[in-house]
Amino acid sequence: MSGKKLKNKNQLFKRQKVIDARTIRTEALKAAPRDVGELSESGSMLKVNDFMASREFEVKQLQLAMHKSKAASSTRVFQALPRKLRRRTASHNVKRIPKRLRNRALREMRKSEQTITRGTPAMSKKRKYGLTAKQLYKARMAVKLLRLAARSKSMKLGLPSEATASRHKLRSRIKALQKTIRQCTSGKAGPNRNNLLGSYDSTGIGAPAMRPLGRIKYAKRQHTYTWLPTHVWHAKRSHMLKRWGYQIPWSPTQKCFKLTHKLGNSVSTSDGAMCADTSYMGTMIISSEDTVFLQGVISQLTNKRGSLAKYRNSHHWFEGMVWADNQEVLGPVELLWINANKCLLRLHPAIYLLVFDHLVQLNAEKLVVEDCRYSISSITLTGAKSLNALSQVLRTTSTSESYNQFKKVSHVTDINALPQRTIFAFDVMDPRHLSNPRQLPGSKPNATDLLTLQDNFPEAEITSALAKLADPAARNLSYSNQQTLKQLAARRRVLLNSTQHSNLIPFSADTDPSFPIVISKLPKKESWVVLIPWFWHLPLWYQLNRISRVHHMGLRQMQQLSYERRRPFFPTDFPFTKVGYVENFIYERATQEALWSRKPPAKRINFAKIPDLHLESPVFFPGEIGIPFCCDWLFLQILRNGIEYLEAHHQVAVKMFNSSRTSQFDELNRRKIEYVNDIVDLYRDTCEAKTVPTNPPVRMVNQSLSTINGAGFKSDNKVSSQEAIVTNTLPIVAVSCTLLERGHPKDLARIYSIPAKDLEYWQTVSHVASRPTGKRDHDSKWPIPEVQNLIGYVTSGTFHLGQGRGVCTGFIDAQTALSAETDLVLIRNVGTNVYRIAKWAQVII
Amino acid sequence: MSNQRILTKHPSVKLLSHKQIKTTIYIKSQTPFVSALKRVNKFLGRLQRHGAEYVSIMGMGKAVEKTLSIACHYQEEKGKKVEVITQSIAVLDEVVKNGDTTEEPEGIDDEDKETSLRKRTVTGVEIRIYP
Repeated sequence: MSGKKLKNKNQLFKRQKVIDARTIRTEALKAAPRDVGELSESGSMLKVNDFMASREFEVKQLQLAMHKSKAASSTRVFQALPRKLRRRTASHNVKRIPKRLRNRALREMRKSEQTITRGTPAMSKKRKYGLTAKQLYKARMAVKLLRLAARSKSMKLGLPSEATASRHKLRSRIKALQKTIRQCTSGKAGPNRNNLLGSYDSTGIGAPAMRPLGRIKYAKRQHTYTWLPTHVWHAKRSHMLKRWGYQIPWSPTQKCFKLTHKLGNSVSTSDGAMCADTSYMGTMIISSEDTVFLQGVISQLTNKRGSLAKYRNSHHWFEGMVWADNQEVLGPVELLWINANKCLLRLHPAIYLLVFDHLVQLNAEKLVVEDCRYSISSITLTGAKSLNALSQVLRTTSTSESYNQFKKVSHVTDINALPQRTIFAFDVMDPRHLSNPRQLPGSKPNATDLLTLQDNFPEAEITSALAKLADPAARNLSYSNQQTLKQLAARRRVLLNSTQHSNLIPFSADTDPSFPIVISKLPKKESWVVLIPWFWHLPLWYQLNRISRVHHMGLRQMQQLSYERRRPFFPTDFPFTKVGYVENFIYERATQEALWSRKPPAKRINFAKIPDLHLESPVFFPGEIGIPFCCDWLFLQILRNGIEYLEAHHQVAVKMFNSSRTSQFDELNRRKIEYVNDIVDLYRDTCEAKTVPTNPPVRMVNQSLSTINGAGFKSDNKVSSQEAIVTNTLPIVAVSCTLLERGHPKDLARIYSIPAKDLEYWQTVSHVASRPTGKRDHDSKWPIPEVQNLIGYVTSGTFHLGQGRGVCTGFIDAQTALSAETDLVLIRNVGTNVYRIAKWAQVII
Repeated sequence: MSNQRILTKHPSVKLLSHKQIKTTIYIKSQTPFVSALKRVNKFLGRLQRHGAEYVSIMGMGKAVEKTLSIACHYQEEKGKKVEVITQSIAVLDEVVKNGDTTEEPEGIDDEDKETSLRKRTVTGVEIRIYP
């Protein structure tokens, strides 16, 4: 019994198929000598057209063989599906396969004699036995609670607080529910919701708003972290992040780095859109009868910018920074004036409560602060198809100039082609009225149409829609008679039976709900933001994600997009704010350090032993300088301030150390600062004191460097004493660097200035002029800078797919940036000794 | 009117159509020549998939010369059929609105000033390269 195993019929057939597919035919040309004189040993001459025809035939045969071979190797129909549509369950559940392929799939399943399921098996088929009496009782009570909750919802009752609070026992929760139902049926209390879905407006006036309760089944899970309206949808498709009191989608489960780059940016190759649920961004509405007072409040909050006429009078979004009382930057803010007495603020959840509490305490009589975190939700869209996608699912309820404008420009792909102020605001019907998203008839707008967008701005309409969105009562009214899916399906069935076939359930103004929507361009973020009442989010979201080439994204993709637009992202790129500093200096550091220390010593970089890092290394840092796991802003502050101090107090050039001297102290037992090593020692002292500063050691200079006069920052921030080195905050500017050579920067990379003596060398490197061989020389030995050339850190950097080279966002010392002669810097990744030349440009946030 | 400072230049208006997006290349003044050739080749290879007849490359202003030299490459070196169509493209500029400056405090940034749109026409070429 030796030899090969015999193949069965099926295997033989397949084998033959593959062999057939891979056989490539060739054409043998008649190479018979046509002329006696042309005969040779190696062959004979051919005619040009014979030769060409023969090669053409061969190319075609090769292509055919490749094609056939590809078809022969795939056996199952779901292997032909694109990656995005592949489902693991498709191998036994035919409903996971597109309809046109389903019959083939069924045939293949029968052939391989496997079990076929259609759809998910019904709940009743699950096993119910095996429970003890106690377990059975508990399970039944849990079901009872859900039934009662559903009943109270259908009676338009709000859930009683005893039923939702998790500290109550199951039985008391059931009792509370039964009580409210009884009260309603006996007529003692009326319904307190205006719809069957249990939607209501939860706005806090002068106090933080109540969190939305969600379904009673999942109430306990939302105890610490609030769910977004689309939580369950996202949890199935994204990795989630628990931070800032919310569960936020971090990144889709499927890889999407390149997809985000291709679709999300405003480039001519984008043919889709990326949408994100940004309901975690807190919305706040502040209003005051006293217009001047409100202006003052906004002016103080935004450092005199948000109250300027541009923003106040003509519905321009203000995208800038929000400042605390003591002139400290908190973070970014988006602000829109609804009218002279009212304005809407959007803030990141990390700083929302700070600003909210500040405003509440300001002046209770004059200022009304409404917390709309859980009553206004938002969707952010980027990419060419954003407006088009929205136009496919939104239908207005009344004739509206704004809607007409929206329809008109919905085919424009590039957000940047539209004017700075582009807002569409109107009333729309429930998006679920549409059975399928349907494209509106195409219009071809030109530049003149975009001009009319600016000139015929329907101010009255937009103001009224905005006011409707900002009013709690109007929002609550928009939920009235919000319909269940069952009701909508019933209406659709009636339509099907009637003669008129339509994609849209007709809107009746008396009974059907409508809600205000605001679609607005955020010019700096290059994205569309859609503001809607909280409980209308999910209907819109579902419809939006049914459109082809519209993909969802998470926080990670937003970060990626803002990196590609060279804009800093809050909080990772905001080290000068408290939140960003904690993120950068404490949170990031802890994670990176834990990752590093988890590895065995032989498998990780030894940061203390990196050769040729600097010309001379300080004693404390023989290898990598500062903390290698984060952007060490404290070190940068002490280093830059110390060098400024040295330059002011010592006439001689700044040196690393004097070999004939050790550290010295003066009569007050303070460290004498004479050499760079002394500064590093001072840093060590500060670190050893274990009082990690809670305030960021750096502050932001957010004005164009060309407008700052030569005196710079020395006048107001003179480093005169040793104490000042540690206490004075370091002014920094945000820069975006582009690498001129190969390699790419990573997060936390170090930025160095170019020493004057090496400038000539680096300038020759930066010139793209070709070498004698026609290629660049990457093997030359570069001059190494010194420790004191460290001027900043990279907060986010990688290979930029749009630029085709390494690009990074970082911060450098403002004083150096101001006095810099070139726009060239050196960038070095942490743990390496390779310096790359880069060009920097300032970024105004 | 013409001496007003331009704050932002908006790009030309592009309209959405899947076929168009997949067969049109916009040449920038920074686009490397060889990269453009590689992309045209790639697009030519995929023409059939999108049911299109030609790849069009667009260039305006400073990039016109480069666009035409790409056309020359395909016409002369590769022997393809190439069509050249000249166009004038309307673009919008945002300029500082000169009007009531009484209310505004002195020394505010350009970013915080009210703007108005102005139309400008730029010359451009469209090149159609047939496979």
